Amino acid sequence: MRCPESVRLQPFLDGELSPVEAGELRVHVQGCAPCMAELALYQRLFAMLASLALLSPRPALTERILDRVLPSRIRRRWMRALGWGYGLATAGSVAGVALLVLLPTPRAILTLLAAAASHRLAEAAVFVLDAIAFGAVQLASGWGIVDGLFGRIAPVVRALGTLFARPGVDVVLLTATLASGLLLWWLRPRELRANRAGRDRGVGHVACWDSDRVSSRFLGVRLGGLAIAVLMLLAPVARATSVTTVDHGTRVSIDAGKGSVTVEPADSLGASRRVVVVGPHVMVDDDGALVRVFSDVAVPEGQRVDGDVVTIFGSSRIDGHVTGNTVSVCGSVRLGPHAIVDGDMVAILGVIDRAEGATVGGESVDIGVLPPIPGIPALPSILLMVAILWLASLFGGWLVSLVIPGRLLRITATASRRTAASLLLGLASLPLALITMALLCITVIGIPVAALLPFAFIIMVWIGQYAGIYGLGLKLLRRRLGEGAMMMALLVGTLFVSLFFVAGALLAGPPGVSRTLALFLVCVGSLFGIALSIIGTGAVILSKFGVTPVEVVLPAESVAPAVAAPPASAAPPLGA
Amino acid sequence: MAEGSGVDQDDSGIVQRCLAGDERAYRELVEHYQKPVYTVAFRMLRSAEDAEDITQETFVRVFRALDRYDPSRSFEAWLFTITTRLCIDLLRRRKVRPVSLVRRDAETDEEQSVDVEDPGLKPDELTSHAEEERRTRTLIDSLPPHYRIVVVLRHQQDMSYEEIAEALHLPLGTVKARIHRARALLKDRLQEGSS
Repeated sequence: MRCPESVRLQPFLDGELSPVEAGELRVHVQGCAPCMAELALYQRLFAMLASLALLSPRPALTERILDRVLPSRIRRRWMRALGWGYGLATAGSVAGVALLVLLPTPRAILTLLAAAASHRLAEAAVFVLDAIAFGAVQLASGWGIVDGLFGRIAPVVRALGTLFARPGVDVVLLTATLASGLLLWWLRPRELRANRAGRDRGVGHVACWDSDRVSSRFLGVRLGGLAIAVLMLLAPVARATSVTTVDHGTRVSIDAGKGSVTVEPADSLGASRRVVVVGPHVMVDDDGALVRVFSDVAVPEGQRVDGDVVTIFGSSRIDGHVTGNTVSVCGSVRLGPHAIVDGDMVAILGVIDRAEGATVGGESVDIGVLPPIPGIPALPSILLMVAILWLASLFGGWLVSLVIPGRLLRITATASRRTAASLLLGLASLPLALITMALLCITVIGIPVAALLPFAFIIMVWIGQYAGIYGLGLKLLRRRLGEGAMMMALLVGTLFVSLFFVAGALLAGPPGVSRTLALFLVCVGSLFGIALSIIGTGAVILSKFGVTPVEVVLPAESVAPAVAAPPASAAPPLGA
Repeated sequence: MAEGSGVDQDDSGIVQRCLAGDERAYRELVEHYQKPVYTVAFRMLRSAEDAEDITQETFVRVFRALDRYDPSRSFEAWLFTITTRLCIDLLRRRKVRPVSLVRRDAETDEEQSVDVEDPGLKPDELTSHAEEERRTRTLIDSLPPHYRIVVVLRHQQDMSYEEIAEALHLPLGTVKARIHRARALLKDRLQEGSS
């Protein structure tokens, strides 16, 4: 017969009894032999259980586990598998093609398929053959293909050289690049500076856009902008090496070095025609070139321009003779039937419309998307276009924030924390995509994937662009990552970039300094937007399409899955 | 409590380092918990090979679900939840029905102990520590799995009743009852061995 008090022996040894209950039990045990014996047995059992050592698995187990869980080893394994897969696919494809060519039955099927091919495909084949033949002929003349390739690129390079060589334009582009760089620098996360200062880096600390010092940095940007503007205005002046006088709206400059006299209206870049007299030779504009910003250029029949004709955000109409290059950036070039251009004819983002009978001494290259509309659109049209583009980008941002908010957050965090790496990877992403496409095409079976790759790349750039814009919006709103409505940050970010174009459009109207400023602002907006897209694209790749850093979660995500997930996902059946 | 219990306080820190991609933290976590996990698995399965497989699978699943780990919960409890469930699943798949030390009374639904043959330890074998440990292991091994696991978690991993209940997803009362019954069985076996 067991003592009823014995049920309290285990709770007593577990320390679960209150001091009073424990005291009572002690007194009871002193006078109850069965309980005394049972307690002794339990004490021995507890001691035996406590002394039981942990078991050691074989030492190789640690490495076995790490092989399965360490990201670097998993990556290595994947790369190895990918290499094998790629090798096998290529070998299989080569073998398949060889069989198709060598075996009679597949060859017959192939013949049937070829016979059933459409006329369009036949034309395409002829075109390919023609291209190959052309390439072969070019190859026969040594480095012909390379020369041909560079021959297509060289005019653009020369055109850009012509563009940058223009006084004022080079300064504007340089300062715009610097200003864009400053804007990116301003976006730099404060966390990095804290790390460099040797402070502790709390893992999971997402203070990417800590904005305690935003105001002072705003001041810095303002001062920087002012300095750039002053520099920009002074640069053309500094180029004049001699006496300049202004009278009745006309400026007369005498350059002792060149022995030239310049008579021009008292304004700046792209204002109107300037007349330069160098000895007996009369040229239009300085250095014998015509440069127009936000304005069109027309060279009438019978007129000769001893130099280049350059338009930025404007088109050119040539009916006369241009001894240099004709370059239009964001504009088109139209050649009349009697036009003669001795150099290259290049339209960047525009098209070339060349009438029969026109003569071009160099290359004709157009990298065009814009229609050949002569003249600059009116201010309301430009503003309307900017507004439509802004609303479209806002709609895109809304879509991204709706579909993949968490990923957008993580991509932004990556862009913020690893800006330099994102920039480099973003720059390399296009060549890498092209190389990947080529490698996939070699395997034959990878061709469908290669065909989808451009779309994937476009989506990647598109998402990356919004990650950059979102980061910018957070900075402007002085918010931390994930704080507040995502759409508000996107709205502010897109608005900020669009404002550069709006300001550019507004300033493009009146000639003179304001046009120079307009060019500067448009360049800053474009360069800054492009830089954000490149960084965002790199961040998309670095963050594994928004999977990492995993500690960055949306405020709504941070509670529910963290609590619910481990039990649910903890122990699915082995091997499931 | 696992070996080197100081690390427990830093579990959440190690987890965060793992999430940040610090591979040294992966190694630390594996090295710190592999013995407890292996011990629990071995006690459940009584096979070194299976215990190693379960240990490996446990860590694979832990790292796979690490981003969803809630730092406010016990990491150890979560770890052993995975281990025990994997073990139970393997036992089911093996279709091994270990000899039960309890039988359920159909009328009262009470678990009653039944006699199990002692695996042959004699009192004179209990003189050395090694022999004592072997006897303890034999005693634990003689328990049915659902008793064995609670005893191992309570006495070898030094987990509280609450942590065991969390790890096994059982009511606290059930955990207490199982531990008490398991220890009563062990005490009886110990007494029989000594007499």
